[in-house]
Amino acid sequence: MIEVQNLVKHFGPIRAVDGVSLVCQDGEVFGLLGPNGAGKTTTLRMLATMLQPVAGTARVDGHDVLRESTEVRQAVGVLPETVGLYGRLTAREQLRYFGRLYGLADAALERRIEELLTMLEMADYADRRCEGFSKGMRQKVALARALIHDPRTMILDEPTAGLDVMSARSVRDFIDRFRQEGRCVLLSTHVMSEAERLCDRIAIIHKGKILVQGTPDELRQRTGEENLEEAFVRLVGEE
Amino acid sequence: MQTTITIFRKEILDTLRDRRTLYAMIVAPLLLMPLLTILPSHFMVSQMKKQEEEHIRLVVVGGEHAPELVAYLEGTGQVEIVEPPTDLEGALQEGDIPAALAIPADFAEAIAEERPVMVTISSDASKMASSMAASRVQMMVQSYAQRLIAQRLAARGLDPSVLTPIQIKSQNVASEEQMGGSFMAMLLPMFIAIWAVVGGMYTAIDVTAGEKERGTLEALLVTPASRLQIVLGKLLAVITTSLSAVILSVSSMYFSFRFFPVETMAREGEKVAFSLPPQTILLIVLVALPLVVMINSLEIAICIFARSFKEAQNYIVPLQFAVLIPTLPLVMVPDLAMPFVAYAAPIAGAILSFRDLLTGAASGAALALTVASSVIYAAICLSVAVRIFRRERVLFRAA
Repeated sequence: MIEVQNLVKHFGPIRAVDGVSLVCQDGEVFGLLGPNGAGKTTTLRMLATMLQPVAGTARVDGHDVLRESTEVRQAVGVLPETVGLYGRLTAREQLRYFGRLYGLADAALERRIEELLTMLEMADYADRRCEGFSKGMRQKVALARALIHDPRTMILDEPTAGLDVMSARSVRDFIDRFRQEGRCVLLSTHVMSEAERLCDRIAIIHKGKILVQGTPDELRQRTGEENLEEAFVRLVGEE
Repeated sequence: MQTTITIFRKEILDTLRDRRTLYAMIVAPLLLMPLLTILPSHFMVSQMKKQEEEHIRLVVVGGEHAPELVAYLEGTGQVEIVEPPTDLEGALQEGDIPAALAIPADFAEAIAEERPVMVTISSDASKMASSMAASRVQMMVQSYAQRLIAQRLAARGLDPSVLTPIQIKSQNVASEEQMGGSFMAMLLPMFIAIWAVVGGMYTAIDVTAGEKERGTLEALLVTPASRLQIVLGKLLAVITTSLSAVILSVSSMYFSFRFFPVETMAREGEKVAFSLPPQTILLIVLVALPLVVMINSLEIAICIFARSFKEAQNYIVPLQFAVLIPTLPLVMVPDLAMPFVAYAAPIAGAILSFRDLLTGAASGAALALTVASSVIYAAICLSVAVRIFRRERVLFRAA
């Protein structure tokens, strides 16, 4: 579970995140929807303990991101905005490396790697070096990396950005599956239709502030627009 | 600790699969330095020998005035007398002939009257072959003059030894090993410093700016590994590549000195032997270790600022100069005397200690000062690197 209250982050004079509050329950997919530069990535990075908030509080599974960052890191699986892999390592070697960093070892680690390779259908290229992998293959390795320690909470930054139709679809299927498994999923996207399809609840974020949040139906009701994209354009345009 | 080892092992695996690292860590230190230092001097020696043995195509102008001298020159077997060309100066400048000897018309008369006479040897001093030929001709003319002196002294009933009342014999009290040590002291400190920087350079860039460029840094930062563990793991990997480069370059240099003695370095009659007792090697390693840690920490601290591999390479160039400059005075003035405090100077202190160890002039106090100060510098650089690695503004500089 992720609980965020009045989270603030400045970069110099820029208020990248300006008082964001939200709660994402276990078994729920929560979408941060907003244009580029709205503060989505900065919010997610604070929750993943990469950046430190200047005000407000955030807890992941009850652990404070500032004071208990080690526990938070152990609890959360992160898919960063840029999916980078070590080109000279094989997919399996990357997973082994990150598994060890999360404290897994030996047979348990190898078993977990096999599980993920099967689940993500990566067995074919598990022992190939990652340089030259397609975007879809890379995204799978990155997803497996985020899942290596079987985290209850997942933070996914633009999980389908830049993927082809089939790869994007399979990533969306995995997110559905995470929900069924009872994980708490917080993701960001700038694609309306994706948010509508994937998320139980959505927060529309703009210039560091959450304009509105609720289920897709609630958002439609509140804005009086049938189409979520229209609702989004109206909300963002009013600012 | 386990996490640091995990990171260290991954970085080593990763870097060993990188051809750039392999080149900087193994191939270059093993081959480049011996090739750069030994080949040219061998080439020079063989070139000089060749020119010494070559026949000189000598133009003699006015040879008819001194038939005895011309016969003497020909008698040495090193000279081939050729006809004067129409444009003598031009032929010299073109390199057609290496040297010319002009004999005045009153040569025979002057010799007979025992008054000084001047001959002219012309050459083009901008050409090595020409100036060497000229000096050889000059030596031959001088030895002909020596013969004349001997004849004149004999005519007066004097022994030629009256002209050399004092004879000088040079004696070198340095042992063969000391001679070898002084040669090594000119080059090895520089090698150690250079390869400490260059050997670990690619790894240092790859584990910092490289992570940023590939976009792998975020995934690493969200793992439970602490910033200190990450920096230590990466530093260990850089130290490993850096140290292997240092060790390989020094040993390849040492063995090339040993097995291909450099003739140009020693003056005639001097003997040179290269040997490093285990105790000296141990002390060199003791001084080199903190130096390497310090340089590698600096590399990591500098490179983490960069957003890309290329940018990091630009940042690291000044460091190469900073390390190279203190080594230069020793190459030029090998026995430069420095005050005691100089042994505490960063980098330069270690360079001085390497020299002293190689020449056998090391004092325990100076060594202790160097090692202690280097350890402090290394600790400072390491803490700077860790501090920089904790700064989010550095880690998330927009690409």
